[in-house]
Amino acid sequence: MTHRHVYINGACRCGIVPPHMLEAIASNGDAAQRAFAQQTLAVDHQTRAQRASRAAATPRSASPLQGAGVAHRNRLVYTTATTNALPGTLVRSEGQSASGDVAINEAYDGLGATFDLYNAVYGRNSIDDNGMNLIATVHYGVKYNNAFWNGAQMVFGDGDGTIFNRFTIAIDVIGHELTHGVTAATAGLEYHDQPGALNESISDVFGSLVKQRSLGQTAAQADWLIGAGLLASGIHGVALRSMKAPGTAYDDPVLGKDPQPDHMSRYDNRTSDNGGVHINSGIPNKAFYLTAIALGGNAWDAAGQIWYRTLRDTRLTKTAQFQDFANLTADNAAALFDAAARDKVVQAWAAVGITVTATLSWQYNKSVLSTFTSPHSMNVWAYVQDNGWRKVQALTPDGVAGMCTLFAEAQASNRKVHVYADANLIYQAYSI
Amino acid sequence: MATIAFSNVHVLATFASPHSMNAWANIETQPWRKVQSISTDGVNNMFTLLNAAKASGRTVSGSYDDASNTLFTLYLN
Repeated sequence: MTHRHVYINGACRCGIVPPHMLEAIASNGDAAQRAFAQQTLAVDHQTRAQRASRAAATPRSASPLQGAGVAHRNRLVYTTATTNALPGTLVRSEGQSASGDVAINEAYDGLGATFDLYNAVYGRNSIDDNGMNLIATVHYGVKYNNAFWNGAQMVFGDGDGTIFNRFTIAIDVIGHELTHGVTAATAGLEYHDQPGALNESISDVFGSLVKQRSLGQTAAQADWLIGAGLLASGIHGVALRSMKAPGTAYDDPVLGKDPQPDHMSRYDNRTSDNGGVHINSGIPNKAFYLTAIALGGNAWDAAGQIWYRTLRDTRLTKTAQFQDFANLTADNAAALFDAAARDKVVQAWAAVGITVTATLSWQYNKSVLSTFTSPHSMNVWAYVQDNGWRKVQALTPDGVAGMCTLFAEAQASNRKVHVYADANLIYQAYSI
Repeated sequence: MATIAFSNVHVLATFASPHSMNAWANIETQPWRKVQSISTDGVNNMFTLLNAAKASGRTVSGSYDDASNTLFTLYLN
């Protein structure tokens, strides 16, 4: 069955289990499995409209300022006791001791681990960067085979027990779904085709980082699986997706085979799943994995910083394509670290079939941190804040000399500059 | 050509004349050195940077050619 999901202004009801998996169960499962899968698909269809209307009314954050307000972690876990009424009955709030219900405790801990990653590592104050309450509902529906972010809160089903276990079992699923909220509050990537696949990939990236940080694992130690533990015993698979090896997470008579590509040459142009948002996300997922491995250490440090800065980059549009995102990650790697880090990002994207091209843009109100020259003709370089070393375009000797004067005097007098630059060259500059 | 690096030193004085590529600097702990005469605009850029350092009191780093005793590269710190 193929169909295009309805979305408004790119919004979605973002479930961790993609439609193609549920549709496979509805076709291939036994009678009970088919019934629960069809029930889940029906509930997903209803709640998608609610999610869309909320997201359509939510503007992109007007201020890019990071860490506004005092860090505010306030977790509220509810249960619907197998109904669909949200949020349900409050069963654990911030600071209360553990419950006897494992799903409640896993949801509470997962919300906390996600808040802590964003706050401690990236300086973000909750999903909206303004201390938004973290709300979760567990035991949603009857053997509901999904977990989702509806624009205001997390929702977890218990799973049918034969294909899926309870959805709180995987901490990366919690990080994944909450990150949809972060994406909505920042880049606002539309939920279809390549921007939608980027949206899904960003949720996989930060969901995996929540898990890796909670386990204290380096990039090399991590399993890079999304939803490990979700598949019930007897299912031939290890998780919903693999960032390390997209397309290898499962191969099962009921679920079918993991369809994720790991290279642009295998990009899936399907119309279902909003243009394959859960499928083609394998490509940027693999690029992030390769970047994290190349940079080494903890993935949430260097690689995570590059991806997070890109997510908040005002140059990232709602309709960004893989190429746009790749270009910006390379640019941000150079700005945050150095040319060697940029090269590693470029190589990671090249490995999945995307050739990074320089991003040309105006950079406003930047300090000149250093200036370099030699007696060779037209050899002038400036180290501009957030950009790194860039050479002045070698257009004419007197023009380059003018730029040299501008940068040296701006640096010497602590004046700011506006520069028109890409990853390699400076083309124009104002001293202000 | 053997270049010798130096770092974080002040520019004590600069000198120029109307002759082509004739720019000099007296850098802290070093003797007067001429900027290597490679290109007219390149020498001009070196001189701009030396004067910016002198005017602001910022230090410079760079290198000189030991054989010709001429300034070869400069960073404004």
